[in-house]
Amino acid sequence: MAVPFYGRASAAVFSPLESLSRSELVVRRLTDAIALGLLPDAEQLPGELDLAGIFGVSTVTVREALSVLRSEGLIETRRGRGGGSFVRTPEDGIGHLARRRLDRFSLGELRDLGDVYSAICGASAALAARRSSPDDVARLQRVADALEHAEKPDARRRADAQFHIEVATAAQSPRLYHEEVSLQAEFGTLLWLAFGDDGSHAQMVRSCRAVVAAIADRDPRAAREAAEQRVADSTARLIDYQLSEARA
Amino acid sequence: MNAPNTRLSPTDIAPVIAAVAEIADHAFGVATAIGTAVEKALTGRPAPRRTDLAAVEPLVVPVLGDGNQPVQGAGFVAAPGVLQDVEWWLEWFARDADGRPQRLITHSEPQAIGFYDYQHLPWYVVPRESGQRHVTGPYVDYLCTEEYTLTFTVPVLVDGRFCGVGGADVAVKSAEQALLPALRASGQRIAVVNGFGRILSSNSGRHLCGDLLEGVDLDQLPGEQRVGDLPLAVVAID
Repeated sequence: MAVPFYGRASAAVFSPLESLSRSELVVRRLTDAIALGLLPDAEQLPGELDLAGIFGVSTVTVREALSVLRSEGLIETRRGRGGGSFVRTPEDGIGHLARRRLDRFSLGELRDLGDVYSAICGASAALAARRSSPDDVARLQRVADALEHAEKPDARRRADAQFHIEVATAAQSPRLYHEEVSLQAEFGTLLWLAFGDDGSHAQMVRSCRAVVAAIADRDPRAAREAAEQRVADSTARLIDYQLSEARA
Repeated sequence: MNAPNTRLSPTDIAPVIAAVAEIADHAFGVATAIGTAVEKALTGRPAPRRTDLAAVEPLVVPVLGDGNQPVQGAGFVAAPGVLQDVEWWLEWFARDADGRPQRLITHSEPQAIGFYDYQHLPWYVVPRESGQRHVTGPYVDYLCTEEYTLTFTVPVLVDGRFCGVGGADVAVKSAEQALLPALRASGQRIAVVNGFGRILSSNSGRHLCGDLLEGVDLDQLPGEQRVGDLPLAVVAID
């Protein structure tokens, strides 16, 4: 099989589905992976049999899901030698997919996601403040620099995602890391809709620096507070964005 | 209270040191064999390609397939620019959830979200800078295992030029299983720590794997508490 590991973050994409696994869930999981950029344009998907094995569903279910993705223009299937299903990122970019997902959430649900994300990010930052070695701090500082110097929205979002991953890693907790990754897939991609312009970027750089400073000072309380504030700012921006979109 | 610089009785800690050394020798054995194979394959090739690394897979797969040894991932990580057909490359294999060896697939395109810049990571940087083998971790390895991991790496030089690292991963969980009998048999509270004082394993519930012990300085420790020249040592706690 060609895709047993996808490197970081993909664990969430290629983990077994809940018991009510149906083609709809497969569609959603693969759409999210495309929206997140985990499956970049032109990437070949594993074969039907492999997908069925990965998701723990029948090949019939996989075939249904692929046909939906095909009709939405998200994959293209080529026959013959070197054939298979290939990802096609929509022409208006992955932001369009994220917007479509955003519409499925009420404002209350977004707040709830923000609460969970805040709990995970806060706990990660507090543990990182207790457990970071000097090279962990140096790495966090480097990612913070990368975030500050990123100029395009996409680069800013990537650096922000990387920063969250590094904090969870510095906490020395594989479980918190996994929670971070799956929340990034579920919620981080939505937060990106309202992040990337100069105003939000400046705010995120400031709060990022605050988290790193608290971790470097080995101050768990300050680190937790700064990380929670960072999520609260992002969530508020997203909800404002959703309200303005709904009006438009 | 930590007492990392307290002198420990050599008879008490020798079995722990021996257990750590056994894991390290095994993992470095795998990493070195990979390094040697890559060196041989690339020597005299001015423009090597991915296909020139074909010798790695048959070396690694039988090791990973043997569930009685602790290495769960191994391979060669190319220095950027060494290969002609791809700038960044990991010729890396790891056990999947069912214990079968599989090739690691990562994005080698720097703009992709899954792209992974290893040029700043200690398992790559330390062998490159020092020319010496290195143990990284315990750390959360988000490239490959997504687990708490130790990574053993050796520099690979071809005609005197650094070309990448050969490496082997051991899960902290496996290392702990191998170390616990000796740790439990010890009459003192002790911990195995890395160069930062980060605990790999201990025989105390108050000092857990991943925690940092203050004031650990490997260079100040007597030789019998250290694991050879590696950044690993046994120290007293409580």
